[in-house]
Amino acid sequence: MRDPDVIVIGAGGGGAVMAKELGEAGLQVLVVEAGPWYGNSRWPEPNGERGGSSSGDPADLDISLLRSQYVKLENEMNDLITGRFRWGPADRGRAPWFRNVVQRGYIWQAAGVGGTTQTYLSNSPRAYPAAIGKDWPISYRELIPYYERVEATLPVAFAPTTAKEELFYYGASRAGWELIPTLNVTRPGFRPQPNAILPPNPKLMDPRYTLEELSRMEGCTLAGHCLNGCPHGPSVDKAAKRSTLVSYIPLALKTGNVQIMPNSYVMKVITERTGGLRTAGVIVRNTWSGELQEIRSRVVVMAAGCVESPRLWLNSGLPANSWVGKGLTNHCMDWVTGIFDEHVLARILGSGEINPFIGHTSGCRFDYPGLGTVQVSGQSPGLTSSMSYGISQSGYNPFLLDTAHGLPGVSQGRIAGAALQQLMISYRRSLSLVIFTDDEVDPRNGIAADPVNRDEHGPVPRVSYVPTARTMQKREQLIRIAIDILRQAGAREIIRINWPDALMIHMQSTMRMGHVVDMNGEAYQVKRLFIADNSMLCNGLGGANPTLTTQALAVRTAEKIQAGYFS
Amino acid sequence: MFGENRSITGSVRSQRGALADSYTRAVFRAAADAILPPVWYCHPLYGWVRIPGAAECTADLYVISNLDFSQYIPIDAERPVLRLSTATALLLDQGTEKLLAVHPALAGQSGLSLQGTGLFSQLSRSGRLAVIELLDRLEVDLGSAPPPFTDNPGLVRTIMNSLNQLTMFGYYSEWLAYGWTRLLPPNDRQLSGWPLSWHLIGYPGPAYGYRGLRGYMLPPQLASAENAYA
Ligand SMILES: Cc1cc2nc3c(=O)[nH]c(=O)nc-3n(C[C@H](O)[C@H](O)[C@H](O)COP(=O)(O)OP(=O)(O)OC[C@H]3O[C@@H](n4cnc5c(N)ncnc54)[C@H](O)[C@@H]3O)c2cc1C
Repeated sequence: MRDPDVIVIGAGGGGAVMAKELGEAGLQVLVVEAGPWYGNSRWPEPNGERGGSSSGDPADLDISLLRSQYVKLENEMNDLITGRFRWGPADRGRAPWFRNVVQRGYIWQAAGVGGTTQTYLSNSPRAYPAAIGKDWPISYRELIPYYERVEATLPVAFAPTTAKEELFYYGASRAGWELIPTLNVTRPGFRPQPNAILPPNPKLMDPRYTLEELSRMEGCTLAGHCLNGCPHGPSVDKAAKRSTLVSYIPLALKTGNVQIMPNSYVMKVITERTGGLRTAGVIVRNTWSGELQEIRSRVVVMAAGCVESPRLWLNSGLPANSWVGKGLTNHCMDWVTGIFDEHVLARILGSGEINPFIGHTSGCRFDYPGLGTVQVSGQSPGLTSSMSYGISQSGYNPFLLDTAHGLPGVSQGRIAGAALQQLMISYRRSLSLVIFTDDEVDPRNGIAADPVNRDEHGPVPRVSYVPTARTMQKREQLIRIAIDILRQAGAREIIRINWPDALMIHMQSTMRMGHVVDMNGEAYQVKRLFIADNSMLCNGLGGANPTLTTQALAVRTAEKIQAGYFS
Repeated sequence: MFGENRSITGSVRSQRGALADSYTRAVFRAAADAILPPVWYCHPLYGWVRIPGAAECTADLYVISNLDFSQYIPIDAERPVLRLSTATALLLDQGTEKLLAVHPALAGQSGLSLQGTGLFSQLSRSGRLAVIELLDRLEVDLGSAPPPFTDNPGLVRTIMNSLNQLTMFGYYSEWLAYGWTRLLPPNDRQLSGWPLSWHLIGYPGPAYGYRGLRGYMLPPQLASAENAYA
């Protein structure tokens, strides 16, 4: 495609939605994506050889290829350094791309078509209305029709109940909380996750169908591999977990107007002065060959994610703006795990085990507008051990060496030694909860261009996050609620790990609407340059998982682009 | 072929932890052994069984290779850069010196005193964890820490977590089941069965699905929700 109307940088949570919407409006769209493309026959060995240059044909999507690449093994998929879902080039013989995180912690993102949604849990709640009221130039009410469109397209459905959800509901009810059967959350309570996962196949419990057969049919099979990469379904566009790789990307290709170019890293946004400053295109570098290419377009959309969009702005020498890269929120997360005795589980669940690897990786949640979210998370064992017991900002659990008595009811910190083996032996009787804090926007937190360190794409991002005192208070309140839910559910032992504040899984608000972009998503200082990823959110949405809101805004911004420049 | 080299498309490097020098190996073995030691466990079916620790399972090689592979090497580096794994080993020994200055009685409690393995690997298991803890609290002079840890408290703390996380991820993920291919580049690895750890804890491995449906708290259709804002 020569000189498309619009270039979208990044095919992740936001970029894929933008591509589909603009393609449907009849615009010629080129999506430039830094990482590989899995499940596409033009890249049969996406991590081994360069493959094609771009694809725009839905017939290239191949579910058997996706099955052979999304192998559901955690080391192969989730290793942040060499896994298929890493932040780095497709060629795994090369190092991952470096980010200089100043505090203790790291950033969890994935490159590739589908972006980080390839590994996300698909939890798709709307923002808490109260959080949108606060800092935002647009209202919650204005977002609702866009939420509805994305919910219908992905589509989003309430998660089914498996053992871990049942236990969570039991604990939350006993703790005095109520079911909140709503999408617009204005009071605290628990509910099934609104997940971008197809409802279970109605035949799932019918023994006449084998599970392998069911995994090739439409609908979730409760295989528990949301995080490891879900390849289940009859075709790529009908895969059960709705990362944008399988939802918006196939729809974008179906318009016939969208080309996607993987393995292509945008190094620079080019501008020209015609009237005011405006974008003219991008400079792209092929990650296999290092070749550079200039591509021009009338409009450019940055959807490179919360770290790379500000980095790209800074490395492109776009005008100074005191909010570019600033105001990072990350939900200042924490994690707590309960271990249950068999007889307690037998009484509540009718079975002595929870088996946290069964079902949606996260199928239920507790919302508390003003504080944040508590949600169940059941993962494969390597991830469970390292996230539940291996990473803390309060060092080793002080009760570690007291193996004769075991850990006390509630304890805090990393676990090692015999106690760790003991806890992992109880893996099938464990339930982990993650909390997302309604963290405050603070301009001291964010992304800057590193003054010293560079990689092949220019100065690397230097990322800093220190929570405010108020954020820390809220985090403690939420953790107390999470611990209480586990206790009420009957946990014998509870380990709060105390994750580092700068462990970044939900990153938001580094190119905030009202500061860097206007109400239409267009940069104040560079015309025809739009943003459509988590960076344009004004805050952390009160602690609600961010992707659905980014996607709703991408639909809205696509309308504005069309009306402003192509009608 | 295995050395670090850079090309126009960024750094291509070896991830063969086995190539680490014997000093680094000894320190990482000692760390992995403290984090996940062998234990005796009373299995409901088999009675008392000895479960091998992370060091016996070579998870230390996984930690070394991942650290080195993730290491940032400046694009314009003129001199070879000290491997991150070796720098980490030196840092652990620096922490050990500090610990021993306060608690000299802890020296050499592992019963091992091998030449060239450093102080850390000669501590008891709890002594080794105490060193990791001490570094976590930044109780060493970071001005004299080896690069890239020099005056870099965030990295020191991140790597102390990484030692724990990577040991666990090496041990409890399928990594061990790649057998002799486990240190090859990921595209060349071949899986043979499941790792011991999965048998032990009862993880069945990748699944096509489970017949685990217990019903619905709310009907799946979002229309079943209250729409108070409409
Ligand atoms: C383990 C995990 C679980 C999660 N679960 C959830 C969840 O359940 N619900 C939820 O809402 N959120 C979840 N998230 C967060 C979610 O993944 C992000 O909110 C979402 O992906 C953000 O979308 P984005 O478009 O901002 O960025 P991304 O999805 O990261 O997409 C950015 C894309 O841009 C590409 N790119 C970057 N720079 C360039 C460049 N210069 N040139 C070309 N391409 C570039 C990247 O390769 C990437 O594909 C989870 C995250 C993780 C890590």
